[in-house]
Amino acid sequence: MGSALAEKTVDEDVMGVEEDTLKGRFLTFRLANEDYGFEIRYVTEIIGIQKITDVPDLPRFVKGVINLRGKVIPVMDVRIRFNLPEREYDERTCIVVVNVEDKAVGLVVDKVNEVASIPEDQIEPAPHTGKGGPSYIQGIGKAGGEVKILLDVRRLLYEDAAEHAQAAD
Amino acid sequence: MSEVFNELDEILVDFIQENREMIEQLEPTIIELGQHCHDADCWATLGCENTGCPRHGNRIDYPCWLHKGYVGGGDQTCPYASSEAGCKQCRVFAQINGDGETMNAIFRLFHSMKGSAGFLGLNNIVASAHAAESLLDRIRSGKVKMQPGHVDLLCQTCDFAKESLDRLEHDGNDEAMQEKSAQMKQLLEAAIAAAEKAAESCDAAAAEPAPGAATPADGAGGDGGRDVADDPADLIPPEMLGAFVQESDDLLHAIEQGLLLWSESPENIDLVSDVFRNVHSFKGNCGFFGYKDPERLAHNMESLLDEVREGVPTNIDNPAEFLLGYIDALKNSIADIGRGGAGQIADIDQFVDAIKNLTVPRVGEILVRQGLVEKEAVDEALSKQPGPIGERLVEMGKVTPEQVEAALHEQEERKNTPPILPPSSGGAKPAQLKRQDIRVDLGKLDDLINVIGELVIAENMLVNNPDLAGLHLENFNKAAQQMEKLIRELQEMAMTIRMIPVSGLFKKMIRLVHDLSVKSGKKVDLQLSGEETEVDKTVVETITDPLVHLLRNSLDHGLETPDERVKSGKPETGVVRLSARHEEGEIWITVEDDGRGLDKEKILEKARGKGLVQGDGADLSEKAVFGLIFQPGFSTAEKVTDISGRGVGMDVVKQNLEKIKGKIDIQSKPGKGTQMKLRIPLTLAIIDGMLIRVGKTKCIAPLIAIREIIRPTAGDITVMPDGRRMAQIRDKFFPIRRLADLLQEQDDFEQVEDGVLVVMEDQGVSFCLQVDEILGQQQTVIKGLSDYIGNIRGISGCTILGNGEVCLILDIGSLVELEYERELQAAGV
Repeated sequence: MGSALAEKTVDEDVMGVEEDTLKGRFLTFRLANEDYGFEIRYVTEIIGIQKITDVPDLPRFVKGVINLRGKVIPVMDVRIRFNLPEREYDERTCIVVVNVEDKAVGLVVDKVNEVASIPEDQIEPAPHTGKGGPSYIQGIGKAGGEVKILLDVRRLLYEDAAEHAQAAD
Repeated sequence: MSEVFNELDEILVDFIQENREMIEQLEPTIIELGQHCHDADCWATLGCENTGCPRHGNRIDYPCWLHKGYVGGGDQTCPYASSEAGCKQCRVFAQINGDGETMNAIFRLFHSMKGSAGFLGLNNIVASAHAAESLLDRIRSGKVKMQPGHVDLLCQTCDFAKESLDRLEHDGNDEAMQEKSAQMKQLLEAAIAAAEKAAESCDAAAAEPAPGAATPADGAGGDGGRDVADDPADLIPPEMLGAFVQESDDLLHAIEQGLLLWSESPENIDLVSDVFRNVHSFKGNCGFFGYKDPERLAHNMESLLDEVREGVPTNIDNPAEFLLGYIDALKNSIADIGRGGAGQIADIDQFVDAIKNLTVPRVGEILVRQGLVEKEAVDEALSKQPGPIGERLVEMGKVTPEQVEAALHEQEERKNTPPILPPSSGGAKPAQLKRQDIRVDLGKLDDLINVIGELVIAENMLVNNPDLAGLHLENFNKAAQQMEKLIRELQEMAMTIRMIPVSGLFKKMIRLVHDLSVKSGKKVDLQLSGEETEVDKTVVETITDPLVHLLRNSLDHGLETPDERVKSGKPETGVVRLSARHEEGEIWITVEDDGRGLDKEKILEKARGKGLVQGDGADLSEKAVFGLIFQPGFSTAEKVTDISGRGVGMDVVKQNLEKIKGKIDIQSKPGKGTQMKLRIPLTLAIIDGMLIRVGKTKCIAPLIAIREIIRPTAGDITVMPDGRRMAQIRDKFFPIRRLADLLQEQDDFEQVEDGVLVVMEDQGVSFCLQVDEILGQQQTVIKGLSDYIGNIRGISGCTILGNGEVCLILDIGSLVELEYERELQAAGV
């Protein structure tokens, strides 16, 4: 199981392309007023919002756990993670399931847009915002005249999360 | 010769692994031997009434069998034996020099290590193993008396062997061990010399000159070359024998397959290496257990294969076909062993000759064998220009042309000798072996267990399906119950597959305790119990380190020195008990000593010094105080010793236990001893649970922890000045905890008496959990919360309910612990 199989599902069902062309492709989604993107190779599936079970003693941005076809996976609300104002979930709210290091995590986003190809020369490195700037921004991509903030999923899940968790303690 | 085997790394790996396993198995035996052997007076042990004997009533260090018995130069007057064998079976002999079975087992270890190391050209290992073997042989045959130092020496040899194996794994040879090997050998040889000297000096030791005992150590026994007792089966425990028979059978199958492949394409030499390896392992196994016939046949097959691999021509077209015939002979031999026989092969000599004659020797080899030339000369001749070897040697003036002629003739003859074929296997019955086990990839097992877990959830979803609500379905319910029962059985069976007994783990500790006791100069009796208790494989791996730390603590801090013990009226030898058992749906592994116990005051003092408690901490409960020793860097030891005192150990214990959701309980009485109990949940992934609700959240409480459920009246509740509430149930008071607080959830009722109280108990500590509603009982499949979330205090995992919702499972043990931590906090931490 794991990512290989998962990636295949994405290939066939969503994109219908070969695996090596996953590079440079991003799943873009909306959060508040900006468009963001994840590298598509991390994404295993997109599901609608469902009942989330609260788990005590977690950082605020981890909403709890859900049942994904018999597997229990944690769910992170990306809005809270980015310190954006919270918003009621509606029928467009999605959970993007990503798989990093064989661990599945669901990410709650306002709305999923599309899969966009962003060639490397269209990606600017993340602007230095001085220290303390979020490290989970991989770069700024331009696609069809729009700007997408590209996120480093691994860092989004792990890096500052540790600090947050500590802060929450 | 080691370069020949460069390509045969696998053999090395096999060798390393085999020997590591052997050492692991035998180390405890060696230590046991040391513990069981002690001086004994023959007249006292046997109740001898011959007062005329010079030994009677005297403590004579010189062993009786050399003095009055039938070994070496004994004067053969002992009435309790009538032969050398009788002497060796005598109780006195067993008490002093160890019983034959144990000694043989240890002897075999070194012997087979020596054999296989010699084959691989690991001369340093050979030298030490040989020296150890010599020492053991002398003890075994009664030529010398065993001393306590001998056991330590043997342990050291084991250490040396372990280190050599590590080196071997790392470097591919044992050359780095040369110096140590020489030291080891010297030590062992010195011990042998000393012991032999002691055995000679009978005259000095004996009360009167014993006329016949002048030359006790002249080797009259003459059994130095004997490997094991005549019938090896007597000395081997049945379970080991079973494993041997099965593994041998597997190997023979593999050899057969390999030979078949090879016979199809005789030119493919790679295939020979495969067969060679398997034959080699087979030989090693037979040798280890002392079955000489199959070992010998396999050895010759191995030599043949080796020669074939190196391109020596054979006088038949297809050696594989030929060898296949002998596999049947080996199979029959193994089958015989399986039936309790000695595995003898009837025409073994004929077979061996046949195999030996199969290859055509080179002219040079024939000449060397006939003693006409030196091997070096042949090598030298070969290294010169090409050409017939005979001519070169004649040119060098080493041999005469006639001799070469004769050698060539012999070679020719050999080429024409028809090979002796083994009897066809038609008449012999095929090996009938009961298969006892199969090897399965652990991953497959995990998959199986996961699927069964899914099955239980699916069953729950089906039986508790909301669509069925309110329907009266008698037949459906019957069928559902039947299914539930079957699924449960299936699940339990699957879980037991992953279980292994703790005996292996416990055996490792024997060596540890032995070494520690030598190092610290304390006398220890390690008592093991419940070794047969089975636990999950991962549990064994995780608790190895904690057990090492706990035992170290017991020996270093717990037990007193012999002097102190005698002063406080205890027996000189301290007792450390290591036990395992199933209890309360958990596995309990207990390390217990009868030492000085934990010093509560000292712990508190240290904790105050480190600022772990504020105030004097006098109001802390014993349990809370003992809990302090798990703080990282906490050590009450005044000085850091070799063994412990850095305060890392207990921290490791706690962390490792947390990984498997285990807990540790400490009980200690000053002067009486300490008991550390590791409580590890069975990994049985299904528990009986009670579904409870508070606010909008549902939770599962393990049924095993629930004592009773009550609906309190206002009069039962007492509110303490600090806001804590207590419930009075039948004259007893229990603290009340709100589940809502734990889950950070809003509950339905503010007043306790409007809700329900669930009385929980864990390890004798009880408390009430206030919930809104009891929803019912159900089987619960435990699933871990994601690794991403990690461990949450008070929650042991989660499960999926019939409607697909995720539901948390409460961990009562850690709720109790949380209670203690509050106490600590209240005390000002």
